Amino acid sequence: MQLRSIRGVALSGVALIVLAACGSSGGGTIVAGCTNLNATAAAGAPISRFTNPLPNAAANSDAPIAASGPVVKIGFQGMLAGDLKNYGIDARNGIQMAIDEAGGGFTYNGAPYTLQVDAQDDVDATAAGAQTAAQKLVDDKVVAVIGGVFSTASIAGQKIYHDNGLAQISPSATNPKYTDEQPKPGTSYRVIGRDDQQGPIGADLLVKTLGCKKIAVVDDKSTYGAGLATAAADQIPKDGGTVVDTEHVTAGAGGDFKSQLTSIKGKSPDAIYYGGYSREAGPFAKQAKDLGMTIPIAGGDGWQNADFTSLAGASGNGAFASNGGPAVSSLTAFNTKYKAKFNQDVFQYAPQSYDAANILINALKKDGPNKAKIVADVAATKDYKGVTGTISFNSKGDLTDSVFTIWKFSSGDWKPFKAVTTHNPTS
Amino acid sequence: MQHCVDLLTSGITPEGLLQQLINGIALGSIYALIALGYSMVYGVLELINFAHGDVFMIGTFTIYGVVQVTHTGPSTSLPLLLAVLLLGTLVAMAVCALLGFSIERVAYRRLRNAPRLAPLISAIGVSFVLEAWVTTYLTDRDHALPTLISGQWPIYGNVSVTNVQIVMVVSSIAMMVGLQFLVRRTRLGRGMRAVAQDREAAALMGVNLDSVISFTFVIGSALAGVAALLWILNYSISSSIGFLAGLKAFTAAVIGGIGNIPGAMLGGFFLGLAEAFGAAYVANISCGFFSSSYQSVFAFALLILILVFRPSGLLRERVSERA
Amino acid sequence: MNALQALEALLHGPFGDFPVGGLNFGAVLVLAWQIVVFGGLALGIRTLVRRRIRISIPHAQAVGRAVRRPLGDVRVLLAVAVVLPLAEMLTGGYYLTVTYNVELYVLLAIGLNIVVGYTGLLDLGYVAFFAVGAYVYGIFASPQLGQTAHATFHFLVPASQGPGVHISMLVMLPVAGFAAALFGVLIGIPTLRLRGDYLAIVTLGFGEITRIFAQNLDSPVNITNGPNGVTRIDDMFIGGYSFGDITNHIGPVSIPPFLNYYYLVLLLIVVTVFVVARLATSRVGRAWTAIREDEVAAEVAGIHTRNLKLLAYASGGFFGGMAGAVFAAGSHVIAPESFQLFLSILVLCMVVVGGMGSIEGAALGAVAIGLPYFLSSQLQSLRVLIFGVILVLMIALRPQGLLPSRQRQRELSETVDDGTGAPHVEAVADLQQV
Repeated sequence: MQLRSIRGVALSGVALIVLAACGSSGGGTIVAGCTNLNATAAAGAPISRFTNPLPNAAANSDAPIAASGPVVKIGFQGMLAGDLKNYGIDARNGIQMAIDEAGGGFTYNGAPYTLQVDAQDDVDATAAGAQTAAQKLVDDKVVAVIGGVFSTASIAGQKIYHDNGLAQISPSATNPKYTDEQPKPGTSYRVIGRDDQQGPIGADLLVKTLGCKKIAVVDDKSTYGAGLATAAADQIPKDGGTVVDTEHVTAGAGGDFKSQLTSIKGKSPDAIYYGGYSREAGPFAKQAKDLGMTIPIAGGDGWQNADFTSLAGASGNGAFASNGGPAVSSLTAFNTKYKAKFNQDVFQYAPQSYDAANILINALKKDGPNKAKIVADVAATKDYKGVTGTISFNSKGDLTDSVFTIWKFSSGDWKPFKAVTTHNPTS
Repeated sequence: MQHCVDLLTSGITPEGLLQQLINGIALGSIYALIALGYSMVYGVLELINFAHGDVFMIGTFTIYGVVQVTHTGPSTSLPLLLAVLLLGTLVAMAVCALLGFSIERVAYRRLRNAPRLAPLISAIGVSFVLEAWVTTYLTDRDHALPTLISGQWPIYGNVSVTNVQIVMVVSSIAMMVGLQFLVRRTRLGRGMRAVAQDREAAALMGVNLDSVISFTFVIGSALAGVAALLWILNYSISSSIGFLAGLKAFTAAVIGGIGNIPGAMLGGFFLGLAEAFGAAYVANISCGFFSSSYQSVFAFALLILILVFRPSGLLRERVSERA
Repeated sequence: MNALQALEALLHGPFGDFPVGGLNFGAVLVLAWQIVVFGGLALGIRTLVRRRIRISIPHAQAVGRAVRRPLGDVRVLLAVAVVLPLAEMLTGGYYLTVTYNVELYVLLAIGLNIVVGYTGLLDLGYVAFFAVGAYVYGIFASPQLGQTAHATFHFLVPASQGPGVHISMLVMLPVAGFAAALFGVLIGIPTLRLRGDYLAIVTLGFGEITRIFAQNLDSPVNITNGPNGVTRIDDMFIGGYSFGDITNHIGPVSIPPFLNYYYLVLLLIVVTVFVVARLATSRVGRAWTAIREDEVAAEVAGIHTRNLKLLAYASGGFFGGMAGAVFAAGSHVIAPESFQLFLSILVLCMVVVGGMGSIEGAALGAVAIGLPYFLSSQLQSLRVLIFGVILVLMIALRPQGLLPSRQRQRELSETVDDGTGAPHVEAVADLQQV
């Protein structure tokens, strides 16, 4: 377990958040157990960087340059078909957006180059699919790769990228193994926090901020969900809470969670931590309300999205979820631009892949289409101001500081609640 | 050891048992309705119709579409709400029936005399096509309706049964009774039974094979349309729900004795209960060694046990003559 | 506009989107368009083919013979299999990787064919054997046991692999095979009395149970590492030669890892085909056929159906387990989600499409389905749709499979006459040629 080494979770809500002091502030119903459920965010505080102009939107982005010159390809590995394709297509769109904002190309040493995204489907994020996609990208002579979207597929493609000297930036692989176990010298990076950073944030929120003592921990047994839930469950006792129940739901396609919820109800916890994706978390929250459970449910970025909004509806009110960076809100400038371009809301990882693409584009502008130099440039990324926060990589390939925002679901939509920065020690 | 006894004694309460029983029966009624369609098709064709779950999935999207188009929500008045749901169900039944009919016509009919597993492959292919078609052209995201029908009745302690659960169980039993009547008492039903017993002999006796088989698909698929209503009142929908729901319905049909209508019903309820109790109590009865992630293991282990002792399912005496 | 976009546009038709409540109601128009255009096209082709089939049958037979004869020659096939990856290397690594993955499916299909094709036991849980083999190798050839038991042990593997138990593939390959075979027997015992679809659902259940155990056996003792899966699995080593090392080269030509694995699997396939072909024509094989045709009659005739069914599971499992071990080494990472029910179904499709009960059929089926399965990823969002259509078309055009066993063909053609549907012209044609 890597958890112990990353206990440097620093609450740096600094200028962003005013936390209500301990003790309930009165008004509204207080669920038994949680002493501070009415903790509120500072009203009207500009929480999200999204509300400011995009730092990377080049001034000339509205007047696209007709890109010319030789074609340089940025690879993308992810799900482009099947029932998880919205994750993959969303991330690919993020790259496309970055390229289009750069004018469809770049100039290096006075010579113009045309930029393209080479998106390869990894056949439902399977190991074999990831390897074939990776080989295709190598054959296509891409200069660097963004992907995969899920952790196992990212790890399966990793060795091939490493063997071919390609920088790999995953927008969304949160499993610690992705960077911890990568072949040396490292070529894999990620622009998202790790499970073992994000899980404790949820635990801290429930126990410390909201004052809930008895927590039920639920996960969907996916690599992602279980990783998050385990990390949260490890942190809860350290914060002074107790894990009173551990339940698992079967992932895949909606489903019935009433029997798990009935069991949880029998243990009368103060709150639930749910590690998993919106596909299950939405119905889970809804069915909890149907069973008359009004206790808060907290979780991670897997369900801090519009999908949860549409699946849980008003039943989601009172849920909390952390997300990397200032996260995606329907009001943000990024989402507005995204929607204007792709005629739909951001689903999940477009901002992360957008940042990853911009890091690569900057490297290309600096050193041209040279695989090895791009790897070095990505490794040297320091204080890069992206839409998901300030990005610097440590020697492992993780973000040195990950900004998380905890969002509260109220009145049928996500509202920013609290910002947390966690520091990631180098290996 | 004491730990295990505690788990058994304090972990399992009468109230909990009763609530899980209600949860299980409600869930089972959906499986049962889908299983009826599986079982009927199996009865006449001996075909595992893998596409049946996806027909059901299309049904859920149809009802969802009707509710969206009519702008129905929790604030809609009750009579209007019921009218919309009824309309949605009728449209879904029609769409499913038409789809079932077309699938049989396009993908199965010419394989009627092919080797036994050939139509199975065709069914799998159709299942892929339906799922992919939905994600490509209709929607690639999950959807859910807000809680439209609320309200519950307390029965014992803090155990209650919701109105939706009552609707689920009543409508699935009503459908089974209607179906049983159709099969046992009507001319068409006689044709279906004849085809199920011996296809060639039935054809020689003047039963129109094509129309009986088509009709079986139409009825089975229309039932999936009713199951779609029960599903969408409770759960979310996506292109992939069909496969899993179909798989569970197939399991239910096998538990009951595939080809047997009351058996499919019984199997559905049985599976629903097994899942509910499995998720709730597998930890208690295994001394905490297994957790609720073994829910499906519990259900499948029961299935295997049943089939070891009754190799043709709960209600089917006749041993399947085909290997 | 490239070819893919053209295909997308053709399938979509000239309609816009009409989104209501998250659904695109324009899909109804798209459906109408597809029915009119492709339904019309299909009808047209059918009328054309019907007219021409009578004329072309003699030619088809001649062509079929001409193609089959050399392809039926094992030496020719083997030569093609040996040279193919070298040719593919000229185009880069993609086709080689695809071919290697398809090759694994060939091994799986040949193994499943023993259970489904020869013995007639409908097995929907074949992925369990693949998983057992993969996990057995993965656990004993990775740092996994180092994390659990702080054990460090190297056998025929360079000590540079670090802590954990690292045993050479040379040892683990048969071990993985036998472990899966044993697993097959364990699954077989409770299912001996079951037939047909009852057996199908029980084997499906065992497949799922296996996956769920892999997902959960990270506690109380960490055996499988749960949902995270086993990572950093060793490559195969022969002496100091690592299959996964990219610096391997012969002269100026570097040897990509998948080329090593390709030849490893090819060797396994050759051995498997040899063993299975011998088995199939032996007493055991004939007994399997007897069980498939009529289990009661076989029993009456003095065949130990119980032992022979268990043997079928065990041998099917053995080859599945070996394929799993190689898969684990080639991909370096295995997780429960790699062993979904979908894989069982896919391999079953291969056996059926190839033609049940024949080795060459199973192998051809694996190629005929495996290639579109991987290559269709180039169709991006249309992948699943087109793959489904290919499945339906393949089985519609050759219901008896691409290369059914001759024995089965004979049985088939007998049923052609007493059926009520249209006679199977192709089945008759195949029979005449036997």
